[in-house]
Amino acid sequence: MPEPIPPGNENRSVPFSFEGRAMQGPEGEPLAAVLRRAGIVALGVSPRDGTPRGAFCFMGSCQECRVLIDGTLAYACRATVRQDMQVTSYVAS
Amino acid sequence: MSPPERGALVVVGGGVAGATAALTISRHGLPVTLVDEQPQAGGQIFRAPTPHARRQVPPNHEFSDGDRLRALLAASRVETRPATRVWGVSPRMELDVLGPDGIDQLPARALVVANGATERLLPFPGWTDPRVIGLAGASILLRNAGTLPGRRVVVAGAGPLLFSVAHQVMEPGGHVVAVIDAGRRGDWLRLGATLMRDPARLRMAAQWMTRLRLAGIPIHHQTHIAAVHAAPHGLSVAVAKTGRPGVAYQYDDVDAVACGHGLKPTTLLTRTLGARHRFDSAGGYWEPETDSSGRTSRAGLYATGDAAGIRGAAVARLRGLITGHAVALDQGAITARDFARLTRRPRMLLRRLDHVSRTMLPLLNASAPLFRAIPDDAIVCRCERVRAATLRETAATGARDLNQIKAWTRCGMGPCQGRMCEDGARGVLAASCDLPPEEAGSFTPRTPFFPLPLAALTGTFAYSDIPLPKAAPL
Repeated sequence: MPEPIPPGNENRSVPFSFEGRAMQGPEGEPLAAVLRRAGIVALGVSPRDGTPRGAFCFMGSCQECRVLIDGTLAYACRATVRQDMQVTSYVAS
Repeated sequence: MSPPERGALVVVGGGVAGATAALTISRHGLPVTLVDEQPQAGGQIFRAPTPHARRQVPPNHEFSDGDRLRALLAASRVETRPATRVWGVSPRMELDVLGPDGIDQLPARALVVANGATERLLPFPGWTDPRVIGLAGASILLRNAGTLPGRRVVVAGAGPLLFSVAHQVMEPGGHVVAVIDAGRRGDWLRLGATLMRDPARLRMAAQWMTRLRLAGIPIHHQTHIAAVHAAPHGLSVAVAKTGRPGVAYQYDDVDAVACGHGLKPTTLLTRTLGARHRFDSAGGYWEPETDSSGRTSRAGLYATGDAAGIRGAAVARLRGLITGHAVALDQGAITARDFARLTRRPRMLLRRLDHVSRTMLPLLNASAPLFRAIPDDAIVCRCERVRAATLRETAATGARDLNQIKAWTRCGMGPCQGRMCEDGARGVLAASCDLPPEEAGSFTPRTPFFPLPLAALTGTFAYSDIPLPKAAPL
């Protein structure tokens, strides 16, 4: 769940990782937007055909931006950047 | 069915309609709970911008109106439940919600559904590429996260959002490669005359169009995206004239496509609760039947704002206000005379704006030729990868209803539960059998409305806590 950013602490740049790649991004901003600004749009693959997929609706409906944050299922459009979070692709079983 | 006697007054959706309804109910001295899936109220139009967006996007009325709404809520006695999604509802109007503290149940004796709109999407080959995003999504990305979908953006679809998003791409310095509009130029010109009655919207539309024209951006009317291909330097976008074969225009080196074909009311809750719905042929969507105050066919259940039919933010505020007063009246907090006095002026304003909004509806609709133009190899259901050809073959063997299509092909059975493909599937099915779209029906809503983490449902329990029924005798 996105947490409110503490006052005076807005958008401090913090390290995190995506698929093992070291990233840097403003704390509290939506993950999908921060990744897009870094040129990353493919967040996972379709479990049906293996084609790359990414955030489509940006409002929690399409389910295509599902990722794992520190091992827990999350939506990249709703989740926010936190220090040292490890983001990996979600693999549907 | 009579309304439940116990439970709270609950508003679902913290957009302009829901927030206004909740504030109005609260002003009449009634306790009210506002359930909103966003961390901060505002809905989609008045969604709270992130700090980054506040730095990137020039101040605008959506930010200031949203801030005002959030300040009013903060100063009110409305109990807000932010970051909380409704994932189910019982026939007795007990809402199942998932919030920051896990799952909870909220019994409602009066329920105001103000969960806004969902985007209508028309599939084309290549639309599953992650560089292709929804138009409403693009607007959220631009306005509320201050992020460009790409540097070179094609904007495609129908309705005013098309020009609004094109304008939003240009604001922070993005390049709009082309605007691909399904509507006719004449439709927009005719609309201009109607908009004279709504100067605020006319001014805004004029500002968008002037900006696009001055920048020399190609605007193609009566066109749609034929296909998007991944090429070495970006996406290659083929554009067709609707009703004609072949490619009319081609744009290369595109790094984002934003597409959306108008909006439709989100009817998940009202349909699950069995309220009567009607098909609005002008808008091409189902909406709950409501009286002029938002009461549905079910006692205690209200629908307001865009959830009761797409009319835009200004109408949503007035509708929310009137529905809020109606709840107060039905709860006995005010008299019928108070109600008439309080709603006289809002109703007057509403009549004028509602007329303008209704005139815009056909511009948001999608016609049969657009669905016939969807190529056989286009994936309609993104989750289950069901192509248009499969839907057409299924229709040819006798399927006439969306739920049949779903059972036979898995279209709409994936994790999005048909939210992305329902309009595409309905349109392809109806166009291939020459059916009116409403006869193809809708996917039946299922609980949970979105995938739930199993851990949220089960909580912590021991194996011995599970009640085991006695086995039946063999």
